[in-house]
Amino acid sequence: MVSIQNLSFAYKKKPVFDGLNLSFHAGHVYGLLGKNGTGKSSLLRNIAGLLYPQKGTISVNGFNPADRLPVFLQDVFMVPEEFYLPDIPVPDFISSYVPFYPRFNSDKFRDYISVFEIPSDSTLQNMSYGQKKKVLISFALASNAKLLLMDEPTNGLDIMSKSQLRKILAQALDEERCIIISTHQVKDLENLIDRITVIDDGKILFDQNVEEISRKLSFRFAVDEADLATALYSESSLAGNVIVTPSREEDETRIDLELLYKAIVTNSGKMTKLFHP
Amino acid sequence: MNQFFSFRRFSLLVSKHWADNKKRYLLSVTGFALLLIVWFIFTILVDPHTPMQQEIQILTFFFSLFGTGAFYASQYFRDLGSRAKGINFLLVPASAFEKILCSILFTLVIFFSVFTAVFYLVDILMVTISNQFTAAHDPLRQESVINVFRAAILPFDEMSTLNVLLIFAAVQSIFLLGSVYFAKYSFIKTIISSFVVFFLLFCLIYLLYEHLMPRGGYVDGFLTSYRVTVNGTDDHLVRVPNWIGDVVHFMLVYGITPFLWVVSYYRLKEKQV
Repeated sequence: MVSIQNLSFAYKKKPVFDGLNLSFHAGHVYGLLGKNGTGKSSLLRNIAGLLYPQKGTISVNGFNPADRLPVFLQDVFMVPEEFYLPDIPVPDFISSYVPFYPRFNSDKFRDYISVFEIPSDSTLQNMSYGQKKKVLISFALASNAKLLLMDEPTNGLDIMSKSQLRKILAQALDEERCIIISTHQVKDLENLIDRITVIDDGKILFDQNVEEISRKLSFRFAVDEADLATALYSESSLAGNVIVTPSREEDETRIDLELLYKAIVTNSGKMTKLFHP
Repeated sequence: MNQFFSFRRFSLLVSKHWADNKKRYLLSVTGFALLLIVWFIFTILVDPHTPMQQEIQILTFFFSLFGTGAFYASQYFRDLGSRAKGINFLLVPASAFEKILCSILFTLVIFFSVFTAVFYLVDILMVTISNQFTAAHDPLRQESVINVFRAAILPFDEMSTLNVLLIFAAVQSIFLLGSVYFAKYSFIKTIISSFVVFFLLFCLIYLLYEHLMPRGGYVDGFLTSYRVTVNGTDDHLVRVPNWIGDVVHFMLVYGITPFLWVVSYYRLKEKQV
């Protein structure tokens, strides 16, 4: 679906990526995690053909994104963090934008809009930021684009909307579709992402699927001092010390994305050894 | 489907542009018509004895056509100056050629047609009112609606309509290019850049003329004949073939606008947000 080979990209004086290799496949939801300014959005914009790499190649469904061919754009939909929707009623928006996406499913769009509780006859510009974002996300999912790029999709959504988004995204995933979600609000997308990629300083710090992480890591409260000593990451809370530690065979704990992210960022050396012995 | 141009995609793009901007366009057209009425009322009040003279109508038409046209063209790609709007614009599944073609359709064909229609609507109305107003004092003096394409005030020949359209198209294409190039303040920046380019071009031609050409001067309008002066007595006439003059003339008259459209197309293709 997406193949990135030896990607180098820089803004005028600020290098972002140097020799990045990465691939994304259909049928998965990828979580692109990282601190602010580490290049998550730039990577998404490179994949969408909005930014051009200085070196290396990107191939999306066999196309070079930088060509921005209509056939490529029909199958890639991006929900950017800063987005724009015209000042028109939702039905007008649908009638003028839908014909560009041959596989758009209007019934699904209505379903998503109703799950998000958006009044369908209101003008986009009269909606709140969160409501507009929900319209855009609904449109993106209903477009049936094979590649869906979402930059901080939960920003501006209330608690109920976040859980509605998780539900809708889980429904929208099929074997032909790849969803890449860039976020720093890792908690919002727990149980949805099936591969986690952490970018730091323009490099891939961590890239593993959720099954592998569950098999190799344990997220739990520390029982004793020995637990703390062997932990890859620990954090004190009212109920005790929460730790991320190499998994024992009998362990079966739920992945805590926030703890995982902190463990990767603070102890990348040990994490790398654990996953690439 | 052809990835460079498809009539279906182009018509979808035109419909989408209209749907996105119709509120702004309708307000602008109404605002322009009202401003025109206010302006004509002002000229009538300033000169109540000979109101709505043809010179006033012609100057109003051309000044407002070129002024508002250039401003509109300079704003066409303003979405590219904002990341959010730029992403929305660039990710619409249509080719760069279709997007440029749509911009030409709106800034040249549609703008000119709508502008001329609105101008004449207001002009006919104001001339009628003005004639009724003056009829009470001077029944013999009746002003007529001017044909702006056959205007005697400007040095247009029988090709006047085409000339006006060609000049207008060239100006629009300059400002359309400025709109793709400059993310912010494109109208002002295009005016400044145009002056700089024309000034540099003038300097270049002047320097070439002063330093490369022998003493003498051109003897016809299209710069194809040059009289070399030697001691004032033994002059020589140097002629280049007429076809060179014809080609240069053709390129200047018909080539500049398409050239600027091509530059805008490539600039749009390489645009990043």
